[in-house]
Amino acid sequence: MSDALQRPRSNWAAAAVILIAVSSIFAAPTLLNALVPEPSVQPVGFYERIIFRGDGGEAGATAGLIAPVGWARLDEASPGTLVVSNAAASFTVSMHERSENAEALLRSSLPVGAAFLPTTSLAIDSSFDAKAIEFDLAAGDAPVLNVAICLIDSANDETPCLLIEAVYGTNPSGTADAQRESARMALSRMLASIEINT
Amino acid sequence: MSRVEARGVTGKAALSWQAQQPVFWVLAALILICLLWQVGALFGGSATPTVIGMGLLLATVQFALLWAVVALITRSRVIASRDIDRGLSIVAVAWGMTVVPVIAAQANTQFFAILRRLGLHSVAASIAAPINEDLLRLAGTFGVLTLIAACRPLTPLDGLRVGFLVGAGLEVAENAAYAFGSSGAGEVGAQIVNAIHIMLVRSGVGFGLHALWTGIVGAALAYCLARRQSGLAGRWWVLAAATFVTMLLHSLWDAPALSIRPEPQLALLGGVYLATLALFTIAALLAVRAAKVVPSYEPAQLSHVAAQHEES
Repeated sequence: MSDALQRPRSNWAAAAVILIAVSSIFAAPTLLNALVPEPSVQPVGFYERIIFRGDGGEAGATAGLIAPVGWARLDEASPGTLVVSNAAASFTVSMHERSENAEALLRSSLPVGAAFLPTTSLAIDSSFDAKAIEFDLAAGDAPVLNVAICLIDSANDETPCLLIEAVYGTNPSGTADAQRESARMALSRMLASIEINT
Repeated sequence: MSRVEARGVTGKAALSWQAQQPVFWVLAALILICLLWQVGALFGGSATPTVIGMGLLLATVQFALLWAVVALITRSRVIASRDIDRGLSIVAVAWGMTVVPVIAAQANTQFFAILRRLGLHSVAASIAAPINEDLLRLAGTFGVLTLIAACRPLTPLDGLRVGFLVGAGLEVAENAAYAFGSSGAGEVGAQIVNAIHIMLVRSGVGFGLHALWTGIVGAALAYCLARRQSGLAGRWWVLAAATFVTMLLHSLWDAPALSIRPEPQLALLGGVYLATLALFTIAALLAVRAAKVVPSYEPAQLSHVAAQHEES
């Protein structure tokens, strides 16, 4: 027993294991990278949180939401705004750091033709003042849903808000109902994930 | 435990210079290549001499703290470990400082590109880092344990210590890299403050996590190898379970924020750190217990074999 312990065998297997492990970790991602195609448009990632910051930067108001996974992200040209789109709809989200309230922000975003339509209160979170309005000014069943969500801040006259403009694609034949419903669900999930901090 | 018993069945501590072992040359070659690469990258980068100096100084302080932790663990009366040659300890640290960050940086970059294309960029760090870094740390721990095993029977405490040192090496190198990267433009004073700030934040939030995770996995690996060395079944599931759990903890640590508010994120990080500390403590206690029941640790047997060795 002691003889074997005192003259240890050369352990080639251990050396091979280490070399193979290191080589694999080094080379495998490079090979895989060559196999996975580059998407034409960058999709929104899984659990991708989009952060909006007010004029105050780190010290100012902040808002965040989880964007709908898999949707195309189209906001490269408009910093501070989120624009995502799929076959059924497109959502544009912008932060408004100093708004009077959700109703006022919503009204300011409406076209003249929809200025006098009634708004609907949304029950999203008790700390939010949330209003929505849906209108369809063009022929062809292409409704637009605008949602304003503001932090309830009784101490200040102005409060940070998010404005979401959801534009649904035309659907004259009704064949894309499932897609539109799916887009509505995506909007609901996105609204539920909204956070606003001062 | 007497000095003879502590030095193992061959009567001497595990030696770092083992030219007859292929593992020795694999470790040496990889460490040298990656060290040269790191030095080239460091001096060819944008870091100013001031920031490099400050980063190295802070890295030394952090390393001293981690070394003190490992000395405290392995030299305490409660869990007195057998000797490990100082050279092997340095090899363990060197692997963590050079091979792990260099290879992992390359692999992570490629992995991130793949995950971005698959729409997983927000969770890329929590997927790529645990796979690449944890497996590289495990490979280095395995290499050093192989060298120890060539000299004397392994104990799980060897794995705990070697793993901790490999992880400590990575942690110091990672934090130093962040400090070097903080250089930028500006006055020397501002650069120094920036480097100190980064090192304090990196060291303060999750101090020793890489070391603790690798210590846990190292203990499990040494346990399996020690059993094989004694002719028993390897119980590799212990290693698989330890690796999985520590990878999961690493993944949670790197996971995207749960909220834009800091409180939930701090709660998650605190939970991961506490879980890591608890697991490390359990691993250390189990390692002590396992060491007591390994047959080759019987004092009489050790003394006998050591005496044989001295005669020869």
